Amino acid sequence: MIAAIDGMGWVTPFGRDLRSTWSAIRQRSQAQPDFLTSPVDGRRLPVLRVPNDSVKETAAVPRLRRSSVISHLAVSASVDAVASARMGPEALKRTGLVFASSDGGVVYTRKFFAEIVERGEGAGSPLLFPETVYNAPASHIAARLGLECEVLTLVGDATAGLSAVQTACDLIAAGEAGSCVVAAAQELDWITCEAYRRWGLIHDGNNSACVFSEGAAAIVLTGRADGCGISATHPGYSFSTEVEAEKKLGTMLAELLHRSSSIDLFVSSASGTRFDLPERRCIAKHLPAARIVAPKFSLGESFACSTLQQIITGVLALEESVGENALVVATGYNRQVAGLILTHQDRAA
Amino acid sequence: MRVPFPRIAISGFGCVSPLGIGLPSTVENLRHSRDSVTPVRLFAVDQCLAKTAGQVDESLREVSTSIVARSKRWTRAAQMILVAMTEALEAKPRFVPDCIVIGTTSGGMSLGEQFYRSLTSGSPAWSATRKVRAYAPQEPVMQAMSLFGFASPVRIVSNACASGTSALGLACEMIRAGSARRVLAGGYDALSQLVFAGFDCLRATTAEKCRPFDAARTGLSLGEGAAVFCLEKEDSDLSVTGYGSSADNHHLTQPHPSGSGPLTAMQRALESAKADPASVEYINAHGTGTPLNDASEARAILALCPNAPVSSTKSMTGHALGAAGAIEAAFCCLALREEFLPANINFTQSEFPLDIVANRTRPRKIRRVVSNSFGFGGANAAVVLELHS
Repeated sequence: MIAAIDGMGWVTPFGRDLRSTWSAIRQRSQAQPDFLTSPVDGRRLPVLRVPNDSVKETAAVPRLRRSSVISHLAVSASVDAVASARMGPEALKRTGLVFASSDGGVVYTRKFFAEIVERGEGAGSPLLFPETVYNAPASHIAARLGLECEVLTLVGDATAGLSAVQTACDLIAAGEAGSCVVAAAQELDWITCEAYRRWGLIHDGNNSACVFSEGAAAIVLTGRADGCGISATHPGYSFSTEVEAEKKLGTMLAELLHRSSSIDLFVSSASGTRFDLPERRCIAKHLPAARIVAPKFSLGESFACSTLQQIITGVLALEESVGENALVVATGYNRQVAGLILTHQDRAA
Repeated sequence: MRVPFPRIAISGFGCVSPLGIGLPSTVENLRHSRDSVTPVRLFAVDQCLAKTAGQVDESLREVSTSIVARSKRWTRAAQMILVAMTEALEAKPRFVPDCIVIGTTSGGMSLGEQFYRSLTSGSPAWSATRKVRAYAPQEPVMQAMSLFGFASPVRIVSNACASGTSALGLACEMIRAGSARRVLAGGYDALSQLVFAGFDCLRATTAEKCRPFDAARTGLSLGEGAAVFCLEKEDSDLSVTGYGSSADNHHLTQPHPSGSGPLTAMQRALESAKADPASVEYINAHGTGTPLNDASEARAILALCPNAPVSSTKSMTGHALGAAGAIEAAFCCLALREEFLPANINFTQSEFPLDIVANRTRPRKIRRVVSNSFGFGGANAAVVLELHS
């Protein structure tokens, strides 16, 4: 095993505790959608929000009072992951952080730019601008937890969540950090909904696509080889067309499966978009007998955050004796594939 | 147990900055300490305090389309990274990276701005839609790498103004941990109105000349550019021998006044290089020219390498944000190879007892340099670069 998963936390449309969300995923329950209205044409888009009170106490922390929702979500999940790993202040000083994000603090970015467009380029708010940088959530997590080692923010599509895990494994392997928090979060705004709708990815009532959701997830990785953890990672490939996606995904799966005796569970990244097709075909070919769980059916699509939620889903499933190995893959909208294998040592024959 | 930091060869590199498009013009202008901060031509700045920035020459489009014609439709950021990547790979033909690690802060912000304006101005839907996909910060890299047929995964590091150095560091960590043998790493950022207005509203930019470490400094000038490096575990005259980082949890936009964050990053970089701080022969400082940043960094340098010559090349180029660390690492490589210390221009009077390379380059044969980058969110990073005989 490369790294053990010592702690987990998530904030989802079903709340903040691990079990209630896992129960919803297992029962294939769907969260109740809310609607975001586009000021451009009044179109109402279904979205999945986290319950109002899930991150209330995080938002009340002085440093976070003026920060964007993405930071509240990210800090909440990270605090829960560290608490479940029972890490003390000394251990945290030797802990790194890799934060993955797909759209960053888009609410404040849109508000800040709206001020410039509407009132002139000298009218931007100094309170909003610092929160628009991609690494603002990571900075807040590091401050809240007292981290002093490497703190990195990776930006990308769904595969950024898996890149973050592999980066954390590299930092632990190189001895740069004793443990690593890997976190990801996504916030909702009408402008990103509008963008993904125009891309044909999110549901607008007329086509079959995903439902956009907010949330966060975090895991704590340590360099031990017991319990449940990461046994293999694959950095993945880039592809240029959706046809090529299937080929690259197939190549990656063959290379990953070469490193594991068996896969009992496949944690799918399917969310209802056209990007599901390459994954469906590859799994039918390479893992026809594996059990499949698709958390985005319940939790919606939150890109890099969803990928960490897939990992947590895989761990919870393995802990319920589903098997020894679970495969997690992501096919990202910006033309990347990546994957990893989770192994539960106690389930080993 | 820390794994020893291997000597990681720089087999090739390329650079686009306000000082030049490509290494030949860059080294010439760097040697002559050219001030390339000029009035902003890319967007309106009438209501901003600052009205100047370091801008890449308008011939960028021509150079980019001479490499591949379809790049005429790409963003300036994509054109910059294409030119830098092409130059790096020309120096190391047949270099096929296992991974591409690129730092940026703004990503596709100029497209985000256009998307917002299209939506709110009632422009036709298609004019907004075509901007969506290219907005993602990995897209300029994907566009550039498509020319070379790479299928390598792309990692985008966004550690604010430390992104470029963090990307080099992450690439080295991947090689060190054995998860990659060859990595293409660097940074890019193109000027955008949102970011320009952002620094202006923080009163971080200056209406005057950018004067890093000067007693009369009043703020930074923004800049832009890209630099790309071919990194691998092989022998080369140039190499990265150390990398260090630290998290400064003091404030989202201000460093701790003691300089403890920058100091820790530099210490960790020199420890990983197994280098005595006294052996550092030049420091390319982060040196933004803001009162707080320069004071914090000066304290860190004085505590660790009090006798090392120091300059901030941002005085010539402006601050290229996520690209700055990569561009300045390229300047360090040129300084090592061409045997001179780049200047810190616009310097009038000292505030700190540092050996500032004031206003003119210093001819000097050097072997070991440190390049610093510090950013919002308390992201601090430093790399050690060396020339071997």
